[in-house]
Amino acid sequence: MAGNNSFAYNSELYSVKRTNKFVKGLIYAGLIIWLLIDLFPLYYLFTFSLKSSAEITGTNVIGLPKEWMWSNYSRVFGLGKKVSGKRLFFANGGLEKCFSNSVLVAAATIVICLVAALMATYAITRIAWKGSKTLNSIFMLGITIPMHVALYPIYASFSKMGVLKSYSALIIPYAAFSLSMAIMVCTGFMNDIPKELDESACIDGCGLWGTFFYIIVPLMKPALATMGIYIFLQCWNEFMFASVFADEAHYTLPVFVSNLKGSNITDWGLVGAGLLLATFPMLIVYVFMSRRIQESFMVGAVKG
Amino acid sequence: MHRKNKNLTVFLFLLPALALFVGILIYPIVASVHHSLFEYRTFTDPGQYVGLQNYKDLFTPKYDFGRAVINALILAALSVFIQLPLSLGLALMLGKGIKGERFYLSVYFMPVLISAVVIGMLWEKIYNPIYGLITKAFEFFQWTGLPPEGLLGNKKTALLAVFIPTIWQYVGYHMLLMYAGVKGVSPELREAAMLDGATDGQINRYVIIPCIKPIIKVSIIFAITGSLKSYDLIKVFAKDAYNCSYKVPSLMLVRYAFHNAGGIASAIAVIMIVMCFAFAILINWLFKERNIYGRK
Repeated sequence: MAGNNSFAYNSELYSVKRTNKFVKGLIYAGLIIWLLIDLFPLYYLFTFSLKSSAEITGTNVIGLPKEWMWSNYSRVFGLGKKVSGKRLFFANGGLEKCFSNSVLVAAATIVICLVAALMATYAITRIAWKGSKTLNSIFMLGITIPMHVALYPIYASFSKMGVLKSYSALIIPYAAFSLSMAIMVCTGFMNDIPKELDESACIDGCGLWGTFFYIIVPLMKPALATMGIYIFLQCWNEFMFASVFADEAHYTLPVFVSNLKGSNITDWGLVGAGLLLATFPMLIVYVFMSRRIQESFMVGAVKG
Repeated sequence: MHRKNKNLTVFLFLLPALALFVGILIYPIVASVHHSLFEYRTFTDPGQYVGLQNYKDLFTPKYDFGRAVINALILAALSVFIQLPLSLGLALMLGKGIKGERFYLSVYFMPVLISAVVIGMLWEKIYNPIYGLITKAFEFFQWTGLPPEGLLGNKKTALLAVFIPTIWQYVGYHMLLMYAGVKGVSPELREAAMLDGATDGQINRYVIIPCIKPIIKVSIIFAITGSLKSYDLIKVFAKDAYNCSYKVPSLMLVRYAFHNAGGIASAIAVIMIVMCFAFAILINWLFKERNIYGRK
């Protein structure tokens, strides 16, 4: 997979030059129409996050704000904070707390899932033993299993074990449900590493663990980066488990956002600002790493 | 190396993955099947053994699970027959190599990265029956025909109103997969077809689409299982998860899991797994390479 990059941009080869003008016009028109459809809701969100309620509901629905209400944004940071002993609007850790929870959960999930996946892939693809193929296909079934299945039984056993309402209550299910995809992608990458490397390491007296740590892991860095991004995005946006398994000290960003609705806040400017603040970090990362992020989404599907 | 030693090493390498997989994926499946045969009014007390009664109850008017399944299937069908063709069209247009290709691609993909909760809240504002964008647009152009309770509130349009944000978000995802496929088609094939005098439409139809069939298959599987599982967006829209016109299996599952009906929730979970696997197998079977000389 690493070598055969299916995402090659050899745009010279399929140049549009030979297409006739009418078709070309149609293509551009189609692309631009979808571009506008794509961006307009975001533009609408951006403008209403900066307006006063009077403007949103009355005179100025889709225009740029007449008066730029940056205070909407600063008010979002006040949500969930205690002011003279009472929490504002909702019982929640506030934006910064939820943001750091999200980062922590995602980071831990990535580490656990990738370590487990790498080790398992190594055992399946590099060590010859009976049943490795069968085990691999069992792991692959995991891609189709919906996460919802785990909700009730895992909630019950976590509450028995006292793991509920902690970071691990989110990290463990997230890691488990990304595992199958990670193993699949790692298998693709690992098959591209020549077996001769293992053999020469073995001749030089390197054991299985040594080969794994000194030969395989360093060569798997591209796979780890790709898969890490993918897992990160899965955790970052996960909502069902986050809203059920965590308590207010461990809420992640999607729960923060959904709480903006829960407390009957009819203040659209505030809600809009909250939505945008929760989305901005991801969009900024995307601007700088768009190609890597896109690749990480494609690897799984193209391989499968 | 000793055989015993090697077996131990293999086991140690597999241990973390197996622990996660068995503990969080396999155990819940077994447990769900088991729980679905009991009452489970609380998490700790199995209650009475009721056999298949939970499954039968699901399809009575009290739970009306059939409606949820039909809704999920409608969403799946809309995804496959509206969303995917749209994605394919965009991918084919972009794949021709136009100016600003990267820019279009990146913008189209952007909504995929936004949390479905954010998207749900944004579209709820757009649909708002009094102040929403759509209502205001109807007022401005003096169109009529908008239901007074809003697109989301109206029984007939509710499911469509759920589908529109989904399509808005995920067209870019499927477009990206298909675009990668289109770019992966060997240029020689395209050139050969051109030399033979094929038009653009013919090249797309007879060269590119057959070549990217495996990717289309993956897209279809993702679109269908994604629709069967859809939760976030609908959860945001739903004021009353129990009795709304766009209820889906996952919404009911979460509701009953925490309303003293663990047996019912587990039965829903079992049905969801069966449906996901059934569709994955069905699509794989439909896309199997058939022998051109007739039956195998």
